[in-house]
Formats: sequence, C-alpha cells, structure tokens
Amino acid sequence: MNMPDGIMAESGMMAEKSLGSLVDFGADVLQMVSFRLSGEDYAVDVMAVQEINRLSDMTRVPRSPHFVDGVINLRGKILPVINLRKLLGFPPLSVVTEEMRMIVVSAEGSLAGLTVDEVDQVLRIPKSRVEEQKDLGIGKSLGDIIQGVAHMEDRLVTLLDIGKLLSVRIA
Amino acid sequence: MSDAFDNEEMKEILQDFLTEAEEMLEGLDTFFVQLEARPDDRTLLNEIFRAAHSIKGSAGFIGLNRIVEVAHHAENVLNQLRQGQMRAEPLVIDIILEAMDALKLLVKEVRTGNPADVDIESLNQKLDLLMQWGEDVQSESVLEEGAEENAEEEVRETTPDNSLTLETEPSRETFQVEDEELAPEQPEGNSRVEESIAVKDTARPVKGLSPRQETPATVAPSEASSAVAGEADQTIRVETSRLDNVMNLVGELVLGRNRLVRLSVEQSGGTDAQQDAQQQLKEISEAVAQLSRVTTDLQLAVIKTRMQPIRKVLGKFPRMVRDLSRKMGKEVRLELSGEETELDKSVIEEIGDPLVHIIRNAIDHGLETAEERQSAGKPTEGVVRIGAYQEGNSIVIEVSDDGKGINVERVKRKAVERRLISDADAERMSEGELVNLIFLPGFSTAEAITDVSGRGVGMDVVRTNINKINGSVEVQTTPGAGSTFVIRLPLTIAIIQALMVTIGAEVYAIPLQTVVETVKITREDVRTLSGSDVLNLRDQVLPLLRLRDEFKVPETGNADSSRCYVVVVQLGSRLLGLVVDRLPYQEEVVIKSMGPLLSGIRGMAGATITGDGKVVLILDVAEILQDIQLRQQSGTVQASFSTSLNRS
Repeated sequence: MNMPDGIMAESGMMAEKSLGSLVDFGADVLQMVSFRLSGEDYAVDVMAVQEINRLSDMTRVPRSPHFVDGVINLRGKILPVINLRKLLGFPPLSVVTEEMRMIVVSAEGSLAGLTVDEVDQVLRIPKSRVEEQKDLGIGKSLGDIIQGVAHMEDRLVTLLDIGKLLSVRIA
Repeated sequence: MSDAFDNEEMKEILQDFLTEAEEMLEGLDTFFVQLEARPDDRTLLNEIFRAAHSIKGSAGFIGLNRIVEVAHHAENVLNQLRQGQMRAEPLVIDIILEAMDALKLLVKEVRTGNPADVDIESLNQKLDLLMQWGEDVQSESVLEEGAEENAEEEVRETTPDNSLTLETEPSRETFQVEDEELAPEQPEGNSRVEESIAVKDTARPVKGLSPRQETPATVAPSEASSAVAGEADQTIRVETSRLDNVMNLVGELVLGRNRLVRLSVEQSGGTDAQQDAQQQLKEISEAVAQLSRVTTDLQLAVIKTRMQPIRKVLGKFPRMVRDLSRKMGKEVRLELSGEETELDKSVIEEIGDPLVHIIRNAIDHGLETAEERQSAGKPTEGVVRIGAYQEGNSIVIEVSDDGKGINVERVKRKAVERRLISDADAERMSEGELVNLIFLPGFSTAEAITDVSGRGVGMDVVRTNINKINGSVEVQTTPGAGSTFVIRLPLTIAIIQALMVTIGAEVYAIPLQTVVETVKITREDVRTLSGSDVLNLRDQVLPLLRLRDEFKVPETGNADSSRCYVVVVQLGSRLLGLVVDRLPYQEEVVIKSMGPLLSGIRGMAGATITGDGKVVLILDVAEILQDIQLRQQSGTVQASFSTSLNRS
C-alpha cells in the first residue's frame, strides 16, 4: 500500500519475464529479504517478495488454521495473512508495533502476506556461506519450510522456502 | 516427448493441434453414433473421413508418430466404409470407437506428458483384421483399389520413423486430399465454429443494451474458412485468461458502483442544509444511476462473452448412451433438445460429471430391459431425454427417462433404515419430498452393484457438485412412467446476489438463492428439542444454528442479544435457521477465491470485497447443512449452546 501501483506492475513483470537479470550476480549469490522474528533473523528469496506493506485491517476467517490471522483486500485480490510467529511456534505479540510489516510473497500463483516483527534489509548471501540444513530439529513446523542456514559474520540467518511455506495445509 | 518442442513457435503449433484434435475426436464420437443409425450416409462418412485424415495429417506434421500410426490404421478402415466396401455395423463401430479412445489417450499423453497406457500394437492388429475382413467381403471390381491402398501402407510401414521422412508427410497428405476430391470446406473451420467460445452476437438478446451496440463482432474471414458461411465470420477464439481478466475488471467496476451507490444513499439521507448542496447531490445520484445502468449492461455483455452452448457437454452423450446401451443390452434412444442454450464456461465445465451420473443412473436403474418394457406395454426402446432452456435468470436442464420410475416406498424405507430421517418425518413427508431423499449423503438404493452405477458414489455427489456452482437439483417421478431430474443453474457463477448479515462485529454474506425467508425473533421464541435449538415457525419445527457459536465469533460485550434474526435457508427439502444479529442490506457480490491455503475450509464458499473495501466471507450453505446433518447422524447433539440459553 505504501508502494505505487506502477512500481508493483514493473516488479511483477520482472519476476515473470527476466528472472535472471536481478538474481544473476553470479549464480553463487543469493538475494534474500531479511526480517526479524522474536529476535532471530530470517530471510526469504527476494524474487518471491511482491511488496512489503504496513499491517492493515483484516477479516478473521473462522475454522482457518491457527497461524492464519485472516484475509485482506490487496487491490482487489484477497489473500490470507500468515502470522509467521504462530507458524514457527513463537508466542504471538499482543500489540501491533510501528515496525511490524506484512511481506507479500507469491509462489506458484498463490499469494500470501507474512507478518513479521520488523523488515531488515536485502542480503546478498554467497552460496558458500549457506548450510543446506533441512532437519535442524528445532521448532515444530520449521523443518518443513526451512531452506538452509546462512552463516553471516555476526549472525545466523534462517532461510525460508516460500514454495513450501505457501503449500502448508490444514492437517 | 515435450523436450522435442523447445521453441515457442513449435509449442504454439502443438497447443493448436492438441485443442483441435481433442475437439475433432469428440465430434467424431457423435458422428460414429449417427453413422450407426444411418450407415449409408455418404456426407457423414466423408465428414468422418476428413476429420480423421486431418488429425493424422497434423500429427504427422508435428511428428507424433504414435498418433499417426493409430490414425492411419483407423483411416484405412474408414476408407473402406466410405467406399462402400464395408458396412458400419455395431461391431465395426465398436472397434473404431476403441481406436478413437486410444487416440484421445494419446493426445492426452502429449498434453500432460504422462505416458498413456495404450496398446497400439494390438489395436492396429484389430483394425487391420477388420480391414482384411472388409477386403474379403468386397467384390472383385474394387479389388484393385484396395491393393493400391495396401501397397501404400507397406511403403509407409517400411519407412523408418525419423524426422526426415516426417517432413515430407504434409505435402503428401495434401496431395492425397486433392486426389480424393474431398469437399472444399476445411474440417478445421467447422469444428472451430462449433467449439470456440462464442463471442458472436455479443448484443443479440441482451436486455437493456443500446441499439448501437448491435453491430455484430465481425472478423475478417480467413482463407480457409471463407467457404464456411455465416456463423464462422462472427466468432473469434479468445484466450480464456483474457476473458477472465475482463471479467475481473468488470467485477471491480461493480464493486466501485456499489460503493458509489452506498455513498450517495448515505449523503442524500443525511443533509438538509442548502439548496445548492441538494442540487449537487441530485446530480451525483443521477451520475451514479447512469454509471449503475452502464455497469449492469457491461456486466451482462461480458457474461455473454463467456457463454458457451451446452452442446459442448451434451455432445458427449450420444456416444456414452450408445456404449451403455450396448453394454447393458437395453435399447435406448437419446433425445437432445435446447443444445444451443448458453451457459457460463465455468458452469459448462462443472456440469458434465453430474449429468453423466444422472444419465448412467437413468439407463442403469431407470430404464427396464426390453422384455420388461414389452410386458408393461411400452415400446421396447427406452427413451432418455435431455433438454435445456432458460428460465429467468437461471438455466434449467431436464434429464428424463420413460422407465419404471423411482420406488418412493423403497426410498422411504431405506432412508428410515439408514436413519437419514425419523419415522415421524417419513410419515409427514410428501411423496415429492421423499423421492428427493436420494440426494442425501449415504443414500444408495442400488441393491446390486453394477459396473455402470452404484459404486458407492451416490446422488449426493451429484447434488454437491451442482451446489458447488450455486445450482440446485431435484427429481420428480411417476411410477411406471419414468423420472425427471431438474437441474437449475445460475447464468454465471462469478457474481451472485447475497444477503449480508452481521454477527457481533463481523459481517458475512449468504447467497440469496439459498435464502427462503428471514424472521425477526426474540430470545423467548427459541425452544429446545432434545438438546437442540429450534424455532416454532408457523407450526413447523425449524432447527436453528447459531453462527456466533459455530464460527466462534468473539464477544463484543455490548451485544443486545434479546432480539435477533433468523435467516431460513433451504437445500433440497431441508430447512435450517441461521441465527444472526442484524441484516443490514443485500448486495450483488463478486465471488473471489481465498487462495489454496484457505479454500478447504468447510462452510465458506469464498470471499468478496464490499463497497467500503472490506473483505466479507461468503457462506457455503450446502456445506453447512451437510455438516449439521453429519453431526446429527453421528449422534453428537450440539447441546452446548442451548444450555446457556436455558439458564438465562
């Protein structure tokens, strides 16, 4: 919502048409949008991110999975809002802070908003720093949607697989 | 296989081929069934030959060898038919249809990339045997021609299947076509007309459209179709995604209109200040009225572009009925009417399966065997009629048979046995209500399970599928004279009239089509009956469902719970009262999907965006009713919410 439509359309086009040009810093570098959740660092592939918005009013959906906060109207499209804290097993925040954002991500045609505590920056992560860890044995549902862990200088960044994340279904 | 088609152009050609081949094969099915009835129809035979030939030609051009092989062998047989060396007897047609089925599978194989399980070898052998048989029967005078055919075949069999030879294929095919002096029309042109999404006559009988829009959408006739007169000139193929896009935009426009309408109503109600302001408001409301009118018209026009004749679905049935009647040894005649009736593409796609099920049922259970019919004094040939027509804002499809009808007593017995209804219910219900019990989940009267129907999937699936597209189905029956299934479908499923209801701070939309009436009640009107809330409505007991409890709506605290509304919804013969707080207004809503993550939620049909930009969930009344029913069957009476009421 804080991004004009024109820019949106453009970035959408790029995601479809020229996937290579943005990512291609050499195939060895990943571009990820990093964000914070309960003091930890997480990141998702920049190409999966459509836009980043402030939180807006949403409609509660009865009988929805516990990690879905509701649905919102994003310029005529209806998308579910996934509370990443709830999905990953952190205690949900009771108040909405100024830093909280919703990252709108898309994978295989389905869109969703992910609520995070704070959006950090776009990280360029050399592939050599990424540990392909799928089974860290932490968190309940974490193992399924984790792509790997990046070892940056001062911190660990958990990389999430948007495709898997959006295909999480009601058990 | 798809690896071979790397470049875009080839992909496009392949796509075109697949679409065309699928359409032609479907058309061929019907042709063959007609041929069986009129084995000497030369025009029909030529038509068939042309279509088969065209499939072979295009498949050869692209290099789909397996399709070419089957098509080639089938074509040989067809050629014999065409030249009168063989007659189209049921046995012959059986084998040819088998080949057509194989072709369909092969085409599907190309589309999906999953290898199809088709035994080409044995099929080709069968076809060759058939041809051999035809040759044995044929007289000396035409033998020469047959030999030529054989020689040609040998040449082809020995050519190795590599791309080099395939390149030469097309020219050879065209040469053949000319040589055999086929009629000038292109078969592609024909089927294209039949199957294209009809953008034709955009403005024909659309009510409310202004006259200047009446100019038909003309497209310059292509070389190939110039011989095909009339209708072909008025249709174009449009990608569905483009139409979907236009439809979405119109949806937005409708929502925008709703918003303006709401605003203008609020404004004109609120001010009594100056004359000027009044005048301005009047102008605004006029502009809104104008916009509203145009939007409605545009909406209708766009809906029309998505309309396709129901022929697209019904066209499959002659073949199916033929196969079924042969398999079951019953003589069946299929009568179709109203095939030109138009329905939304999405409805067309969904209605096929339920219809197949109903027709199978009609032939399997409805129609008697020839002997039974004779002893009942009926003609040995049973009749299944499918008719479609428009009635107001809905399309009605009737499927009737002249069989023995449904045994209402047996339905009643079974329903009581399976505890779908109580003894008391059974006594109270009319015959018309009783017979419609066959649509309940868990109901199946088939005592013997046959290959054709009665495999556990009952009529409830039919109703569920039809309800999914906001339609309804009911059945009427006359003992000894047959049954009629009446299906009612909306013109389009994208936009519906909905009743908005509020529960606490939340708003929900209930499709108006399912709503029978609304009743204002006070707390004292609610009674409990064996633990469940009910309402005594005109001496009828109406079960109630409190949406507040059902959806666990958070308490707002200031709710005035002494007065509320009951929305009476109906599905078939079942009624249910949904208890809500308020009924603010009705609105035309555009159904939007909530995405794969949330689409599986029971009781929600989707969501819409209201005039003020909020997302409102749309209830799926059919699912809610089904869930209630399942709950009752499993015996867990929802006593929890009635007790709280009793205490207060």
